[in-house]
Amino acid sequence: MSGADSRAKILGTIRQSLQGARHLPPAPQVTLPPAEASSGGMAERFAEELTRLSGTALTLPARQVAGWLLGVMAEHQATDLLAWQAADLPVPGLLDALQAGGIRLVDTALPHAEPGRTAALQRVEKVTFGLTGADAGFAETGTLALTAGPGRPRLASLSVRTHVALLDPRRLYPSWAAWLAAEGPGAGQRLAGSSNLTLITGPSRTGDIEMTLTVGVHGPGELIVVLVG
Amino acid sequence: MTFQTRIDKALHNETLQIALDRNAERRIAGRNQVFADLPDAEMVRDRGRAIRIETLAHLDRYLEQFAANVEARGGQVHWAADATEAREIILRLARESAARRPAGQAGPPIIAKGKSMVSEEIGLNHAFEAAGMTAIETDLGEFIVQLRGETPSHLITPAVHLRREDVSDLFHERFGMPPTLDVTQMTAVARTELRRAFFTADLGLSGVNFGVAETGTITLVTNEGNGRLCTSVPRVHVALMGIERLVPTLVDLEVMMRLLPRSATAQKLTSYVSMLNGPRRPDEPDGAEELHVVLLDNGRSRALGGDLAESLMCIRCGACLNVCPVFREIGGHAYGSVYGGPIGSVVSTALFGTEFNELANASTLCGACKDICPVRIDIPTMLLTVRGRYVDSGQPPAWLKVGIAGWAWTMGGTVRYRLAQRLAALGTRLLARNGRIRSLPPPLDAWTKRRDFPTFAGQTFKDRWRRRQAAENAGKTGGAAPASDNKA
Repeated sequence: MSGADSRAKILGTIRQSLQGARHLPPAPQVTLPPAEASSGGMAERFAEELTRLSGTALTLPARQVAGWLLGVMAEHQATDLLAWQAADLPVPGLLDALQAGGIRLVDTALPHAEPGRTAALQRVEKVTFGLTGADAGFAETGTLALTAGPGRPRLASLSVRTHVALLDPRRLYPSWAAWLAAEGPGAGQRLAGSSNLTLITGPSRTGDIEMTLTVGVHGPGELIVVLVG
Repeated sequence: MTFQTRIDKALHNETLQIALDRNAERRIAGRNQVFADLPDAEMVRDRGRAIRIETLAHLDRYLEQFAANVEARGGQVHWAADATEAREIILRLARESAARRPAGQAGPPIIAKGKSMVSEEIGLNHAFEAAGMTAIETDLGEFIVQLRGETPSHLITPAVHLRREDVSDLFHERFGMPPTLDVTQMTAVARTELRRAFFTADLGLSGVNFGVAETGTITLVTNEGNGRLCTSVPRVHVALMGIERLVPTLVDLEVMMRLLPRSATAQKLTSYVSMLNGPRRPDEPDGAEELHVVLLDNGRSRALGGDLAESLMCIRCGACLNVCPVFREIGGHAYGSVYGGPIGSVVSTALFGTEFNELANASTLCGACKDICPVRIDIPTMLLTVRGRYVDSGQPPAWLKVGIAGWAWTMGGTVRYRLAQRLAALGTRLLARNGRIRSLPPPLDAWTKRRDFPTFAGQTFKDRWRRRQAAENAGKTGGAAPASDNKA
């Protein structure tokens, strides 16, 4: 059977089944109260939630971020970094300062095809530190929203051991619902313009063996969010 | 193996019993806590229910919209009427993906698999194996289960039937890990093994938690990050989803996501919620170059018109499994279907047919499943519907029919009924030790194999009532009856 046949067959059976639709229960009529657009103490709440998930949150003035990050990377004995492009980080001149401090920025762009793609993947795979910005933060859940895009690799928040995210506190919302509401009508279409919108809530974790919580199974075991004050 | 035999095996499997006990209570307590902290929880559940009903009531429209939007963003949509067609599509995509390897690296395709119950439903791993391909499960629980040559025993936690000791033995044997009870150490071993899979795979295969019709978005809800790696690193990403797994809008998705992680793993949100909108764009640095969405029917479109249609509302959170007193004793494998537990007993029949009707008998109809279901699916009523089918289609064993006929005859006449009461009281007392009967002859042993049978009361209710009335009347003649008791 060809794909077109199956499509017609599936849709045809659905339409036949839906005639009368007498077996589906009536839908409850309920409208949820609109999400609060803003609330007090969002930075504190965000930090509290993230800490509970064994992530780390701290507030730093922009000028101190480079020095702090160099220190953390030295502690982890890391010199290579997968980073978002400078324009998408809320700290001006940060990448330059890191490079001046001896950090090597690994080229994150994977060639679209072979030859070259496999070699690039092997190069990127070894990097243990990732640095990203964030599109938004949700205080009630300690969540970061990251959209992929030009100069914004997904792997910087994924294949590394430690993910450092820089968040402009003006991008904090109480919740995911509040962010969607603030983005207004057409939010869906705009957000779907990026190939990948990821919500990150704490480090990578698993409970698959006897429900025992373990962090860092495939993604970063360490998540540090810097609220850039 | 019959359902009864599988149940017997499960009940006598000590390892399984320990593993199930270590799991259930903690999960339910966690789920209740995290719902208590959700504002307007009951309204959110109602809204979630409404979203699922609305989606199913216009499923044709939302499916077409979803498919059109996936294609508009550069993805390819494949429609599969049944399991065979879905397997053929995926095997073809896998062959094509391996053909794109660098020169001199030819070989069978390598597939990194994210967690997908639908892939279990269509027996995809067997198909890969039969075709000489290597498919590696990358979810930790699925990985463990795959290494043991088993199938998942729970929708959310596939290895819930195993103790940490079992995993230690397995990793020791397969990877030379020194025996340990430290879960962190076991996890680290799995990470190293699986890392290679992600970065050498030709194709990443994932399930789909929700498709969003208005945008063509595919949503993956994971904690480990394997779902993100499967869909971002290999050149080709194939997402396999049941046609019912849609929501109309991104706003609706957010509502469903207040319910799914809370119900499944007692989390407000999982570590990762990945929303994929087509393949990597030309100017983006990474991500899969090709995105294929396989839409699987396999009985769903037909079930939509039947009296089990409500089961298609399920969002596969597994909460009903955790609260079910039967599941908690027998675990997932005993059901003999990909989908076990209360909702699985309905879904299996709705999708795969009458051979799964008897699963509905493994229920106390206590209603805990309906109470905990985030979208309030009326599972008990559907279980009764399936039981009705089981009887109507003549599936029960012959002795049951004879037994029921005998019971009807006994209950049909006053004298027979009274006589039966006396005989039952006498008979059960003769067989009992300390008020309980521990074994009965066949076919009555069907009961006593699994539980004791109490003795019938020596005195019938009618006897007791008559004696009580007589005693009261005697009291009244003595003038001791309470003043209010004047109806006699």
